Amino acid sequence: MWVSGRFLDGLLLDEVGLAPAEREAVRAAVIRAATDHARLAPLQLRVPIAVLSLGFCAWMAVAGRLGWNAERSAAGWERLGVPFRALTRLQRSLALLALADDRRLRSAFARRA
Amino acid sequence: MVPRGMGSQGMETRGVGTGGHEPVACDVLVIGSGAGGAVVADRLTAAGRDVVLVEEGPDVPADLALSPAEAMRRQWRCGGLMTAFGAPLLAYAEGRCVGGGTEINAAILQRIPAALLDAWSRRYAIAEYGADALAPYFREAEALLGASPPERPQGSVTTRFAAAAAALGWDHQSLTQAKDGCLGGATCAEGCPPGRRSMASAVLPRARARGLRVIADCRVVRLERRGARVVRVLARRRDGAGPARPMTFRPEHVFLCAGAIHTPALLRRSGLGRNVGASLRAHPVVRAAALFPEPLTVRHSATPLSAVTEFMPDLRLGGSILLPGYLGMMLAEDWQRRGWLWAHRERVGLYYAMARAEGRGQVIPIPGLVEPLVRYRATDDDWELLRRGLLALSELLFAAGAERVVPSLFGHAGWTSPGAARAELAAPLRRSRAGLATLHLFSSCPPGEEAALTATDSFGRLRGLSNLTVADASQLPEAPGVNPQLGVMAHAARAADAFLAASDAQARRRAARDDA
Repeated sequence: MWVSGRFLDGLLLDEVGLAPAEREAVRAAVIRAATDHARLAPLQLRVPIAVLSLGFCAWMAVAGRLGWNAERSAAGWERLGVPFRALTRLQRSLALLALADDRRLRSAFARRA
Repeated sequence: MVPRGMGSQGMETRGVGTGGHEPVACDVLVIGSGAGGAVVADRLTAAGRDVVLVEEGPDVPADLALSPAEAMRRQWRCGGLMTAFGAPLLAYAEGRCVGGGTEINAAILQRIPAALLDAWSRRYAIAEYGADALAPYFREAEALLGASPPERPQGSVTTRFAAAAAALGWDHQSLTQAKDGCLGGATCAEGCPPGRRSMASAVLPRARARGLRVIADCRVVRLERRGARVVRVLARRRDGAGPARPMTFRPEHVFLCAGAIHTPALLRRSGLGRNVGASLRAHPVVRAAALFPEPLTVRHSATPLSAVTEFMPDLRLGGSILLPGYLGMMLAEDWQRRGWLWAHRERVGLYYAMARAEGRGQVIPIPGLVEPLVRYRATDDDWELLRRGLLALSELLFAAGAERVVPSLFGHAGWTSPGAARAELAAPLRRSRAGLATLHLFSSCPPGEEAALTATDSFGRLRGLSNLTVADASQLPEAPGVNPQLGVMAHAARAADAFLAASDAQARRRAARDDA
């Protein structure tokens, strides 16, 4: 869930402005909830996404070292129908669902509103 | 915690052998507890039959208030993370709990258009079928579930939408819903303990009072046949956190009501039936997030129940449930371009265009895996429908005052004017960019006497077997263009009545023979 972790940090810092200690607790709870949820996905979905995502990570690493525009390359692959970023989407999606669910966050949102 | 429709004594296994090795005998075994299975169980217990109903998912207590994420984990199959493979992928959702899909849908009740029913009757040679034949079943289901139009203010997510439809001169209507004391909390997809009239809250309790035995957390893995009869049903039941244990059933008759995916999957896994699982249909949906200048009072908005019917039965436009988690999931599909809307979520509404598609899919069981592989491919005509739907939706949302409309097309930053949407949507949709989803699946075991096209006879009896009836969404011959729950209930009631009529006639013949 490394993607969700980085992604959540941005949201928690920029949007809600939680104190560092509280932010860490919410971040951990949300990642745990999103990870548990992702485990419910059927194998036939998890396996190809995981394999493709590993391939994608390797591709990004190589492309980055060679100085290529890795993001553009990924978009090109996706246009060919290879769902490289499906796992990232899934993680973000579940993290946002869990985030919106978290009681501490809900009260923080309410305070902010 | 009180299980739905039960007294404090609880118990889904009341009167049922749970040892795992002692076969459970009954007149009828119903597999699945959704809009099909619950209606069948209700009707058969009313006729005095000894009925056992098995449900793969849990019996979620009625007074348990679930958050969206908890509801998805407990009541949705695979936590809602199901996908039909194809180009593009089609995300779909099914209920997996006592009450099935009726516990997680918006409880919208719509009759299948009469013209479609009559056309299906002719195309598939379905006996005693059509608008007139099904009308009494529709009426009965509507009365049972208290079908009624919205009774509370809908909130600006809906009022803006309906006002824009009126301004454009498009037909629109309020959809009727199965409810009793709706509090307008937009919690339809989380089970909605206070307001929903679902199978678990309105139908199964009265069947249980007549002696229905319900076994939750019990997955049927195989139907065993001898000659023209199913003689044993093999299942695995999970009791708490322990390992699943085998259970065996010896019913006189089986009603298979496991839904459009798992009914054909079980039949194919058991080597039963022809034309099973190869004609899956769906209502693919394209969505759009609309950013409005003012807050939408989302927290005070009920489930949107206003729909544009101008283009029905081929297309329907409407609003989606708008809780922050669901909005987040839609934005996360393409966070790079849509993520900024999260900060403005009080001003964002979610809307959809739903197509009555002709595309077909296949359900293919995979040895060793619970979930079958599902494939789906939309036709060129379906893509044209979706393009028209997205165009109409963008026109409507700009007429409703949207500043920006962001469609579920990957890599799309959104339109800021109706002209920009029109210009882009003059060309066909780029299929690889479209994010499609559906909550409606059907037609994988169509009925009729046209043997080359259908899996069962006109009343759901699987060809080649004398004691297996299919009664769920897989029996809708084609996509209905409306929410399917009412149609599924009507088809299931009709199949149950046909079974009772046939078995009563058989009993009379047997009695006459004995007398002779």
